[in-house]
Amino acid sequence: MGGFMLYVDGKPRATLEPDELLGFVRKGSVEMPVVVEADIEDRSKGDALSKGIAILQLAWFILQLVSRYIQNLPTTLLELDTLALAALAGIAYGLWWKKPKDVRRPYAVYWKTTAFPPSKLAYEYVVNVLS
Amino acid sequence: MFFLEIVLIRMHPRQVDVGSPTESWGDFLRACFHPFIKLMGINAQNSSHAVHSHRVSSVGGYDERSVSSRPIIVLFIGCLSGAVFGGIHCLGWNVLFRGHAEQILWRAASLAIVSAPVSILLLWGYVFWVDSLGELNSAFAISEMLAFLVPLASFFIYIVARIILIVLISMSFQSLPPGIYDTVAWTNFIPHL
Repeated sequence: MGGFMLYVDGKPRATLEPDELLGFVRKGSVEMPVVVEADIEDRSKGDALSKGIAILQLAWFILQLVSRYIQNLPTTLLELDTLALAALAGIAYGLWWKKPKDVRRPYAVYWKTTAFPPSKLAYEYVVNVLS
Repeated sequence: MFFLEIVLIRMHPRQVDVGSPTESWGDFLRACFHPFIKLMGINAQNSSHAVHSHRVSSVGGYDERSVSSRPIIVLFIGCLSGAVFGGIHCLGWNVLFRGHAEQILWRAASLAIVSAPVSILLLWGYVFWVDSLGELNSAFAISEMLAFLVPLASFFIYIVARIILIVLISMSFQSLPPGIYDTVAWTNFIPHL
C-alpha cells in the first residue's frame, strides 16, 4: 500500500502516519484527502479471476483429500502439511479479502505553501536495529 | 512478542534515532527478534526499506499509538493460526511411521506447535488480567523474567518443532503406504446400480 504521501513544494517528502495526517488536517496545513471506497478498489490489481483461481485450487485439493478419506485411500504426510498450510492461506485470504493488491502509487497530500513546513515525520526516521 | 516488546521497552526507553551503541543484551535480543516482531506486525517500526521505497509495509505499519486494540487482534489471530496449524498436524496422530520413535516425534512436534502459541496467548491473557486489577499487585505481578522467557521459549520450540515435522515428512517418502498412487474413483460418488 502506498499510504498518504506528503508533498512539500511539489516534491514528495514522506509517508504520513494516521496521527500526523489528522494533526495536519486539524491545523489546516493540508487539505483533507477525499477518498471513496471505489477509488481504493480501483487501484487493486487483483480481481475476481485471480482470486477465484486460487480458491478453486484450494477447494480442489481439499475435495480430493476428503474423497480419499471417504474411499479409504491413504494420504501422505506431505498432503497433511499442505492442508495445514491451506488452512493458514484460508485465514489470510479471509482477512485480506478487501485489501487492494499491489498498490504502487501513494495518495498525494499537498502542503499549503503558506504554512511552515513540518519538522521530522515518523517515516523519516530510519530505525537501525542492527547497529 | 508483545511482552518481549514490553519488557525490552521497559529496560530501554524507545530509541527512535539511530541508537547510541549501548552494549547490552537487551539491544542484542531486540535486534535478533526484530524480524519476528515485524512479521507479527506488533510495534513494528518503519524499516529503512519502507522509508526509501515510500511504501507502507503490508504487515504492520500500525502500532499502539494509532489504534490500541490492533496489536492485540494481530497477536490473537497470529496465535490462533499457529494453533490451527498444529491442530491439523495432529490429524496425523495415528499415521504409521517406519519406527515408533518417529511416531512419538510427530506427535510431540504437533503438540508443541499447538502449545507454543497457546502459551503466549495464556500469558497475554494473564498479563491483561493482572493489568486490569489496577496497580501492579505484588502478589499477582508476573515476573519480568517469566514474561520474557515464555515467548522466547515458545519461538524456539515452535521453530524446532516445525523443522522436525518437515524432516519427518521427507523421511516418510522412504516408506509410503501401498495404494498411495491410487486415485479417487470419482464415478463411485455418482449413484448407480
